[in-house]
Amino acid sequence: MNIKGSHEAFWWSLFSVGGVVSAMVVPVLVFATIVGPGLGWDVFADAMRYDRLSRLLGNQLVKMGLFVVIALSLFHAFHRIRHLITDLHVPVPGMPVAALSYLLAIVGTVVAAIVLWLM
Amino acid sequence: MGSKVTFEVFRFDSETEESSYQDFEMEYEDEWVILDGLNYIKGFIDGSLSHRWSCRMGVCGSCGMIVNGYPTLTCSTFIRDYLPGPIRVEPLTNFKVERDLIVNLDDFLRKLQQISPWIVRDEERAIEHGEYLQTPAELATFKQFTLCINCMLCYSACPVVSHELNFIGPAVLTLGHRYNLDSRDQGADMRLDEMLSSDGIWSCTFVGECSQVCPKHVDPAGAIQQSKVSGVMAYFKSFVMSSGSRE
Ligand code: SF4
Ligand code: FES
Repeated sequence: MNIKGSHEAFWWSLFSVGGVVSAMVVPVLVFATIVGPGLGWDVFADAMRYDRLSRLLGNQLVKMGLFVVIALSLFHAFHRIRHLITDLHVPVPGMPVAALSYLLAIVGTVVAAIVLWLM
Repeated sequence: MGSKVTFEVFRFDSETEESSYQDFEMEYEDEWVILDGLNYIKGFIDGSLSHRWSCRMGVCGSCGMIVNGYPTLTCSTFIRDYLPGPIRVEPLTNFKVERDLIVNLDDFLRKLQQISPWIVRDEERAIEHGEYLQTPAELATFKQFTLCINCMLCYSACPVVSHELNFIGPAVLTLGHRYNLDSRDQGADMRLDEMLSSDGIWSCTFVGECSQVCPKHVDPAGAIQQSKVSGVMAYFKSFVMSSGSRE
């Protein structure tokens, strides 16, 4: 089959998996790390103590998990932003917007990898 | 006859290229739909008003117009739901207007052909072998997508159609998906070539307005999302296939 639509399928697959991940995981993370401790709930505030958190983040599996969540969420978000620009009829050519969007997602992914690596 | 209502109707003359809104006041009956109002205007007030309709029962799909700014099937929408009025009636947006409320369908029909919306077989079975059988479960996978009446309301509602003229669009992509899902069909590869092209499903930004306005609850946005999943599979499969063929 001749797939003329270039690599849109690839970007969309990242967007789609990223959507699932950011819908399922990110709210839980935000609640556990920000809202829960903010509300003063002991169980969360306890878990957020520096020594516990830094031990948790030292674990390679946790790092991997975080990396996947961050990277996929970035690709999800930038794909959405790219299309939002179209939907809002912002008068800019589609190609550069797409390229810039995915470039930013890639840069964010690389930065996340470096930060997690150095941690 | 009872209360009065005013229709503000879009008028356009393609010869003079002049457009305007014309007010028509009329007495209406409680069970009148918007189309009845238009037919009354044409029959009793101004015979030069041009609009399309045929079945008056939400089947033929020819009476789609913009009513008070929203894509609407005029034979299925009551005047009483828009009171006290005035009720503004305009031709479908995102189409070239031919005259008054009539839009040009050429582009839509071209796109319809493009997707081969019929059962494609590698080899037709001889008549004496009988019909192609299908189980109720196989039918259920695509039945909803067969309910489209080509009213084109979804094309009016779609923000992508409005700025990508060649975008194949919601109803036609849904129809392509409908045949791809049909167990009797063997033309999916050919159709996917069109559907995965730059004018196809990837242009859809999943705004979902098409499914909102669809009078038949076809859910074109859902169909397009499903074809995107098939598109992703086809994309990754094409790598596996080509790396397999190099070995
Ligand atoms: S999908 Fe719905 S809105 Fe679009 S043409 Fe078909 S019936 Fe009309
Ligand atoms: S007149 Fe046939 S659908 Fe309205």
